[in-house]
Amino acid sequence: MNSDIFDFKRFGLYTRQQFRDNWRMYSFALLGIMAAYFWAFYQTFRDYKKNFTEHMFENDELDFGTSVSFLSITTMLAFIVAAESFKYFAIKTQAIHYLTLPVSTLERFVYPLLVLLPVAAAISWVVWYVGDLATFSMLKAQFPQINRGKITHDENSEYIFSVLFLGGCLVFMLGAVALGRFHFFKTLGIAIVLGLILNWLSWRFLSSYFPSYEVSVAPTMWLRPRADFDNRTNQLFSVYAPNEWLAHFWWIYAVPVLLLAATYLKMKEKQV
Amino acid sequence: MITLTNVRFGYGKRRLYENLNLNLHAGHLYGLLGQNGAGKSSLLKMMAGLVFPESGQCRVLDQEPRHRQPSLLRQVYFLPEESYVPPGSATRFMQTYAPFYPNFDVKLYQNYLHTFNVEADQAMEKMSQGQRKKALISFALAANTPVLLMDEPTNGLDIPSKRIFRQLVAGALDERRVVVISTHQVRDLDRLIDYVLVLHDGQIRHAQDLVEASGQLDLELLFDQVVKH
Repeated sequence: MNSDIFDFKRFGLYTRQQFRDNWRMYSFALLGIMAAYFWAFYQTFRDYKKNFTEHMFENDELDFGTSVSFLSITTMLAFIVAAESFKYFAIKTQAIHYLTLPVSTLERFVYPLLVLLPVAAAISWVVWYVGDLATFSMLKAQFPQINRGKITHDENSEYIFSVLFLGGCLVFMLGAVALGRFHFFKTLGIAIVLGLILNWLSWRFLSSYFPSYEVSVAPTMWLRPRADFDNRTNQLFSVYAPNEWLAHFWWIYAVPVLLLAATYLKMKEKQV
Repeated sequence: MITLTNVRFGYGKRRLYENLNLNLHAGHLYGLLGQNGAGKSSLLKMMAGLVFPESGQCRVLDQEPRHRQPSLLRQVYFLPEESYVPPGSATRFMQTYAPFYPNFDVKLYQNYLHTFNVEADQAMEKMSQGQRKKALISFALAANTPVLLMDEPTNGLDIPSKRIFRQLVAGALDERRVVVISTHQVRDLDRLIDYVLVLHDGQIRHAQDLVEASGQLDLELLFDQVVKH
C-alpha cells in the first residue's frame, strides 16, 4: 500500500467493503432490474400478440425487436446506479464513516466507473438477452411467421443516446456529491429545467434570426443543432448547423471531461 | 504528532477559531473539554481531514489531513459522536474494515468486545445505541493507530460501561500513541487523561499536564473556572 494515489490491493479491499456494506441495496437493484425487464417483456409479448392476431391476414410476417426497451431501462438504471454510488456524501454519518476510510479520492471516484456501472450493465444485458430469447421463443411457438427484426442503425439516435447515457451518469454522480439529501430528484429537476431553458433559448434565437419562418426545434436540439423551418406555405425544410463537429466535440468529449473533473474535485474538497 | 499553527476556521459567518495553536505529543491521553458548540468536534474533524482550516496549518504525523492521503488515514482513527454502522455483526465489521489498518489486533478486539459484554455475532444495526458504541470503541482501540480521536465516546454508555471504557483506554495508551478525547461531560475523564485542554472562545484557554500537577485536580472545578473567566 505504497501509493497515495492508486493501489490495486487497496482498491480491491474497497470494492470488497462496498459490496459487503451495500449488498442489500445491490440485491434490491438486481430485483428491480429483473422486475423492470419482466414488465417490459410482458408488455412487448402482449403488444406483438395483439398486433399479430389483429393484422396477420394483412401482414404475413412481423419483425421482432426489443433493443429500444433494453436501452431505455438500462439508461434509467445507469442513472440510479450512478447516483447511488456516491449517496454516502448526502448523509453526514455515512460521509464521516467513508471519508475517514484509508482509501484515496481516486479509488473512491473510479469505483462506480470501473466496477459498479460495468457490472450493472453486464447483469442488465444478460437479463435482457434471456428475456428477449424467452419472449421471442414464446411468440414463435404461437406465430411461426414471426422473424427476428434486423437491427437498424440510426446515427442521430445513437449519438443522442450516447450523450444522454454518458452525460446523464456523470451528472447524477456530481449531483450525489454536491446536492445532499434527495440528490437524485434535485439533479433530475435541474437537468430538466436546464434542458428546457436551452431549448427555449435555441428556439428564441432562431426565430428572431429567421422572422419570416415558423421555427420548430426538437427537444434535443441543443445536443445536435438542427431545426425545422416552415414558411407557412407548407414548404418544410430542415437545417443542420454547419459546424456540427463542434457540438459533437463539446458533448462527447468536453462535457464528460468537465463533469468528471468537477466531481473529482468536489469529492476531494468535500467537508463534513 | 499533531500541530496546529495559527488556524482559523468557522462555519459561514460564525467564527470558531482564530489563530489557534496547539501541539500534541505521543504518549499522552489528552482530554479536550469545552462547552457545547465550542468547536471540540470540529477540531477533531480537522485532525481527521473532514474539515479544512481557512488559514493556518494543521499537521498530523507530518502530513496535512485535508489531503486525506491513505498513508495518513490508516494511522488515524476517528470515532465520531454519532456513527454510521453498516449492516452485519461486529465480527463482520472487523472482517471488512480491519484490513485497512495494518496494526489491527483481532484478539484484542475480541477481548474488548468480551469485556464490554458485546455479542460479536449480533447485527450491529439491531444493537442498542450503547452496545453499538461499545463495539465501535472496541474497534477504534484495536485498530492500534498512532492517532486515536474520540468525540464524546461516553455518550450513551451506562455507568459500568464508562468505568470499563476508562480502564480499556488507559490500557491502550503507549509511548507511540496519542489519544484525544473530547467531551463536555468532564467527570467521564476523571482519572483517565494525563493532559487537559480547555477550548473556549476559539482558543485553548487552559492546557495542563496532570501528571506534573500536584495532587488530584478537580476537572469540573477547573473547567468551570476557565469558562467563567
